[in-house]
This record gives sequence, structure tokens and C-alpha cells, in this order.
Amino acid sequence: MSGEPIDEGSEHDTRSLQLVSKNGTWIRNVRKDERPPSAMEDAEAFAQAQCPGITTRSLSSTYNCAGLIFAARRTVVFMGELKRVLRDDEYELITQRPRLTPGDLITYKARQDGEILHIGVVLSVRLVPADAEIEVTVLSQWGFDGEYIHSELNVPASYGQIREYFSERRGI
Amino acid sequence: MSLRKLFLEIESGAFAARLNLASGSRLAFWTLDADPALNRLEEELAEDPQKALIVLGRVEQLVRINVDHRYENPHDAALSAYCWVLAKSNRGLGRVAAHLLGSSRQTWWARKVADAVLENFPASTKDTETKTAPAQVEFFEGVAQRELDEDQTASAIYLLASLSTGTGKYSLISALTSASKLSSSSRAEVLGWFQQLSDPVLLPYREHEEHGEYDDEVVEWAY
Repeated sequence: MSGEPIDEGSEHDTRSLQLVSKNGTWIRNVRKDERPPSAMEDAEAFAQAQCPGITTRSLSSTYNCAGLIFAARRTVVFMGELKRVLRDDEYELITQRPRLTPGDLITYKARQDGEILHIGVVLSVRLVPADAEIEVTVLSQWGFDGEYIHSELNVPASYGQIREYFSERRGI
Repeated sequence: MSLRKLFLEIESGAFAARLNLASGSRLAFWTLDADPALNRLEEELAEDPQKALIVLGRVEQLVRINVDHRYENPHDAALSAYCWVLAKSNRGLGRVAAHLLGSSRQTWWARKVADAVLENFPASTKDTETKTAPAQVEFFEGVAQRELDEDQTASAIYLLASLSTGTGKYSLISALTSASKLSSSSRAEVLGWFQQLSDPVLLPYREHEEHGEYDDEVVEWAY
């Protein structure tokens, strides 16, 4: 497309913010326009219909799920960057759900070997004594449809049901 | 299902919300590929390939709409969807749609789909093949009458004529506008679009319009 940068999201892209991981490696990102207010209202209605019980935190479309986590809601972070950023920022995989704590990250995939389709941050972890189950509440940005607080499994089906947990905690 | 109903569905807030659940291109493209409305549209185009021109006309129409500079293009999702379906149904028209999206402003998914189409469907000499002029006229006498409003008809005729590889372009425009019973003001609008491009096909038209007649003279079009 004429006028579009070839190396989208790179340090040469004027639409990118300066964003690097812990080891100084550039994280591909592009700033994006806000969607019209009516579109965000439709998005919220759609999200609520798809996943009853979610709570809307914010209705902005200038960042994606990865942008919320790794760019403080300033920009859209390319999803293909996530595996590398998690590694560069020294996140470790948590294999036991009882070890989860607020601030940890949760990722969603459709296939075990597939690309991460969605990422959120753990808001709360609660033990449900009756079930002896761990109930995890997540905050995440649903694409460009807004930011929602939801239970771990209460996400659009397109995000996949294969979940992994990551933490950068030290000294615990 | 008529194209009008499919257009309404694809241009709805719910469709845009569905597409915008994606944070990245991979999920967005999966969403487009699996969407029921787009699959129905693809079936319509498989049944009658000429309907792709109607879809392309709708793209051209949406691209021309002024956009509030404060926000993303409200037709971004629909534009991306139409380009996606066109590329799957007719590579040449998909490329035309992708190029049209280059003039759309403040888009996100539309640009990504257009880039993907242009990258994955390189141009070939078969890209501009369209049906013969009589078949196109028949199409406008039939399907287009039911499916298109005046503005969409004008857009479709403009695009058909644009894709024509040359001779008899003006005759084609005349035949199509007659077949579709396009009003004289809309007909003038179609010709006006070519005028903006300084299309040499209009030269005989301009001369003879003054005298209340038109010329079937063949004019070469350097596209």
C-alpha cells in the first residue's frame, strides 16, 4: 500500500512508540485510532451478550490485550512478540494454579503449539472450599472492544481454552 | 439471502465487534474466514460471480464516505470483510478492492487485509477478465435492478467500465446505464468520475453531448 512503512511496528515506523523489553530489544508496536463511541457501545453490548457476568472497566480501542500488559495501554503491541517478551522480561511458567497470585499473567491459545491469542492479568485468586477449586478473576483488553473483568474461563470462544500462567515474581 | 441483507449484517455493529475481539491479524483473519455472513456472501458470489461487482461497488461507495478525523473509520470492519471475500472469489477484483482500500482513511483491519491480499495475490494477465458486454448488460437488467440502489448502481457501472481493457468503454457505459435505467444525473456522475481521471474516453462524449448525441467511436484506454 503506498505510503505505508514496510517494516511495520519497528523503530523506523513513525506510528510506533519507543518500547523495549528488559534486555533492550525493540517490541513491535503501532499506535491506533480510537473507534467511534457508538462502535464501543456496540462492542460492550456484544461482549456482555457473549459472556454474561463480565464487568466493563474501560471502553478504549487504542491498545490491544498485549498493549495493556506491556505498554501501559499506550499502543498496540504485536501479538507475535509475546513469547519473546515473556522470555526477555524473565517471566516463568507457573504450572500449579494454587501458586497464582494477583499481578501474574494468563495467556490463551487455541492449540498447544499455537500463537498466543489473548493475554490478561490476574486480579484475584480465591479458593472455593466447596469445590476445592481455585477461582481466578482476570482483567484483560478484548481486542479493540474494551477492557473487562471476567472469570478465567469466561472469554470469547475464539480466544481458545488452552491457558498458561506466567509470573516475574522474585524472592518469594 | 439478498445481498442487501448481507450488507446490513456485515456493516452492523455486531459484526465489527466480532472482528475487533481480535488483538492480532491471525485471529482477525480466522474470524473473517469463519464468519457465517461472509461465508454466505462467498456462496452468493460462487453462484453468480457477477455479484462480485456489486460488492466491489459497495467498497467504492464506503471508501468515498467522509470520516470523522477524531475516530477510526466506522466502516473498517466491513471494508476488510468485503476485500477478504472478493479476494477469495475473484483474485483480480480482490486486488482492485485492496487498491481502493488504499484511499480509505483511518482504517485498521481494512489496511491489514488489503496488504495481505496484495502480497499474496500477485497481479496476473488474467486479473482483468470480465464477462462480455452483453452478459454484463443482462446482469444489470436482472440482478442489479433488485439488489442495488441508484448510488450503488452508478458505482458498479463505474467499476465495470474501469476494468474494461479498452475499446468501446463509452459504449459499455451507455449500454449499462440504459439497462439499469440509471437516471441522467447518476449517469453524469459516472462520467464525472472518469472526467476526474482525465479519461480520454470522454472526449467524444463531451463533444457530442453538446449536440445532444453520442458517438460509438472506439477509444483506446491506457489503463
